[in-house]
Amino acid sequence: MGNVIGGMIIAVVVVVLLILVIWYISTMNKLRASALKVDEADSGIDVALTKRYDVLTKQLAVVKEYTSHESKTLFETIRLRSGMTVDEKIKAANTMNEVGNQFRLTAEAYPELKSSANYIALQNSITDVEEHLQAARRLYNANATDFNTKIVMFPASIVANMLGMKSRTLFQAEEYKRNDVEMKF
Amino acid sequence: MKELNLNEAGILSILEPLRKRQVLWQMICICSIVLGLSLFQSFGRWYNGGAIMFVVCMLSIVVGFFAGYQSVKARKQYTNTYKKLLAEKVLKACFEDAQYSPEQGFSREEFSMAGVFSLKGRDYSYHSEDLIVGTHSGVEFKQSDVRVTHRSGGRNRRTVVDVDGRLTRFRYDKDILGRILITSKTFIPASSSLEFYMFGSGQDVSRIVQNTMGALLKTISMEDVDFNQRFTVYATDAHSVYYLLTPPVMEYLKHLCSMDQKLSISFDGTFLYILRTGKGGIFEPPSARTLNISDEVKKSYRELQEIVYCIEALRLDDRKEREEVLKGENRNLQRKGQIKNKREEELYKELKEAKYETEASQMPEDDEFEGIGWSKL
Repeated sequence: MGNVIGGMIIAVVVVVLLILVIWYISTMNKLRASALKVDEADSGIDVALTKRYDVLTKQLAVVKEYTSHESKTLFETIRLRSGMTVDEKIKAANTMNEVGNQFRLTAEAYPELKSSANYIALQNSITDVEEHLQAARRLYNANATDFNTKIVMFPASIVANMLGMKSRTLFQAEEYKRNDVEMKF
Repeated sequence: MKELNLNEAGILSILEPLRKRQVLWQMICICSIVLGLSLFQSFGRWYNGGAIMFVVCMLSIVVGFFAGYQSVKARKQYTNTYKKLLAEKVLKACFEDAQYSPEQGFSREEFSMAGVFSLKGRDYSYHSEDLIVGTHSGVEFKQSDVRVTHRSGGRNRRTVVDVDGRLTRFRYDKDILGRILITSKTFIPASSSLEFYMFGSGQDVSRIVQNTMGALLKTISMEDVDFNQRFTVYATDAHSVYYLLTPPVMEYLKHLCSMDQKLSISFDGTFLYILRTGKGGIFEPPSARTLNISDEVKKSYRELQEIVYCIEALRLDDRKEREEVLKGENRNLQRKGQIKNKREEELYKELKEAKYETEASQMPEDDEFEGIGWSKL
């Protein structure tokens, strides 16, 4: 009788352990899949930033053709490399926006530049690239938010802590866009 | 909308008799069939005078069917005349270059390629009419009424209407991978559209079936919770979905859905297809009530304005608009240059003719103007 009870207890313990192991593996896989989605979205931002940089390079060449404007200095500060953190990417994106604004201001002063077919084509490219960058940002933030939510919710947070998973930085809006627009009449 | 000059009294004098004729035939049809069926039901009780009753019953049913046929014919004539006299004029006032073909529509193949509703898996009956082709703000569009039905199986066979609404196609060049499908959750046959993506059209079925569903088709969640509750988004690439569905686009789609419309939207990188079902056809004249020309014009205008609103809300015209703005600014700059030049020429003439010839003789010659920085355009 004692043996039977002992046997039953062992069986229950084994079943419970099995359930825990299955739950752990399943949660771990879900968290890893979520982390992979964030990484995928992160690489999407890299692609969009690289495209933006390429278009800026072409814009610089067109601007140099028509003007003697020296806008290289700020442009040369942009550094894109693999493995950048989110903060570094935000900084690169902000710098590219500033360079883009400089080119726009330059074009205002040079009518022939503004009316050239190359410039118009590049403006269209810039808008497309900006839209891609916006999409990449939104996708990254959606996936990162989802991941951050999962790793803090109990009981998945236990598994997340055991795996050393940390919350991901969101891709914040640029500082100049956050400020109120000053209306001048 | 351009001003519309309509001879309301003239149009009414043509359409109203047609409408009344159609209503009259409808009434005769209904009354005859009801009479015939009632006599047929009580035929047994009138057995003694049976032969006469039988003849009257059969005559009523025959008259009913004849009247029904005449009613359909009259309805068609009324609708065609309405479209010719009224609808086409309103269309031309809204879109100058629009072409209207009442008898034509999207072909079955075009409808299949749109990917908004799959015609596979069942013996669907397809019909399309009222084709409108035009442009607005440089965006090409094509719209027609579509109707898809099938016969349900089993003992009680009946016609089930799967789609009864409008399909609109816009030209919208966007750089995306694969195709995107967005269906409102009220549009029940969303699962049948999935068949399109699983089996495609003209693709190797065995190869596609071997792929897991996850590789071929993914459900994508957006950051807008309300949007996710109303719509399901299918695509092969999440980035393309976020690229297409910007926050203003999502707001517009939610607005359409809140107007109790069942929606299915498909985008393949070149054409954007929007299927709104449950609305019925465009340019349908009223039959029950008396025709009011100004109300009909307003109704048609409202229906056509949905195309304009869609283009503006989704900003389908943004690329052309940017190019126009840039070209317009260039023209303004050229014009300013010409005015400046003309003023200088007039001033030069005045000074030459003036008493102060010494100053005039000191004015730079024409070719010296360029050195100052004013070039003649």
